[in-house]
Amino acid sequence: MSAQTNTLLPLASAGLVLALRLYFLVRILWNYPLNHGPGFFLGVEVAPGFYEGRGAQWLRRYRILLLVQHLILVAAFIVPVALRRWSDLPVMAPIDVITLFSLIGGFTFWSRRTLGSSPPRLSSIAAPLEERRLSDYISWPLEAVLVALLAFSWLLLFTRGDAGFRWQSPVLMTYAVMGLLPLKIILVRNSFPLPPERTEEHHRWMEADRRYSLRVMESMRWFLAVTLAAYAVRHGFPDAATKVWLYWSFLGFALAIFLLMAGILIRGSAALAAMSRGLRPVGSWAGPFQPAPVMLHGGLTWSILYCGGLAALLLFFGR
Amino acid sequence: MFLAVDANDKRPLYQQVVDGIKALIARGDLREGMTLPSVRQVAGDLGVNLNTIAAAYRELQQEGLLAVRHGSGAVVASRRSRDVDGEEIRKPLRAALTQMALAGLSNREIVDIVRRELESLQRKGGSR
Repeated sequence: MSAQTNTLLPLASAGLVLALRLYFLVRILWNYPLNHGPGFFLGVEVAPGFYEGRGAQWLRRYRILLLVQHLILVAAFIVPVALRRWSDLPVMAPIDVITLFSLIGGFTFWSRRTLGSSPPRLSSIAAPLEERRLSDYISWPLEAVLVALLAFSWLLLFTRGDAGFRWQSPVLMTYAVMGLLPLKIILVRNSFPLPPERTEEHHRWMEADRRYSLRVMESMRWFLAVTLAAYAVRHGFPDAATKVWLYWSFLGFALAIFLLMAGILIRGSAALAAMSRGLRPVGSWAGPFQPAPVMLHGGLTWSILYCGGLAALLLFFGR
Repeated sequence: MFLAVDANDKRPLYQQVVDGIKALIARGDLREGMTLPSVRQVAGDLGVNLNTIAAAYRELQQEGLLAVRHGSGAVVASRRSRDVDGEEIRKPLRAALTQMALAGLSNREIVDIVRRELESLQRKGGSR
């Protein structure tokens, strides 16, 4: 494989990710706090006229943070390109995850605690009488295939990895893939009482949101796993002929998954926004027996552990 | 299909769950063989203690309406409560009728209310 191919591929992958993130910034994230209408800010019910007063400041703070986060992402793309350090381009992904969770996630957490400290407490609530089994949301055979693909990649790298192979990307990608599995379980198990008004619609929307998040995560995990397999093939097969067709097959597959993920993100987020119109965002009310959750039960712990692990790996490899 | 509870209701919470599930069975929304969510899921969704839902499921099991199997959840076992004799079944009806009479309703109004309730029960569940 030519040196040009080795340069072009990480550049193209990183460029695609950046383009998708910038599209998402403009179409979804910029006005995300207003998703449920002017009566809410990031899912917290606010007084009428909020956006004419201090709400404008809150919205400005949110957008500044959003811009800072995306500037960091753009810098993580531009710096390796300017320095021609192509192998550093994949580091963009963990930097994106860490900054997104810490800056935007942290801001959401803080604003919910500050603005939504006493959401209305409903006396009457409902729960769906449908069984929510993990196997209805997570395909265990597919999980097994995913693990097998990771194992295959590692086996190839361990036994036949050439001199050009570095640990950094495989370790980060494996961590990213497997670390998302607990979040999937948390998402499935996450529960919250439904309001008595428009119960069915709230339930349908919350279910759609759950399935959307799981699909996005799933496609991201597969994209990373197949990219890792392509990396392993590139560094594990000495036979150039086998290497070339296998490598391009894996990369073509990874690109198809990426496009699928982009489709899910773009169409899914638009469909969810349409579904949620007129509905109360989760967390904007409290049930009679427990306070309103600031975020997913277990979600905060997971975010801290996951991002902490990613940061530790980045520091370790950056030494 | 939803189970609703109300903090302002005078009945204990577990009783509201029992009555809610019974109503769904009586209306035919919950049919024999249908699986109910686990105690943990219902308790989590409503934000109540696990023991509250466990007590409700236990009572429904004792009445023969649910079969609870460890690990596989609760299944609707029957649409008829077991061990219900005529006198036992009349007790709540008698109490409700007494309440209505004390509220000053005429016999005709009471019969109308009972008929409407029965019709609403049968509308969803079909004829018994």
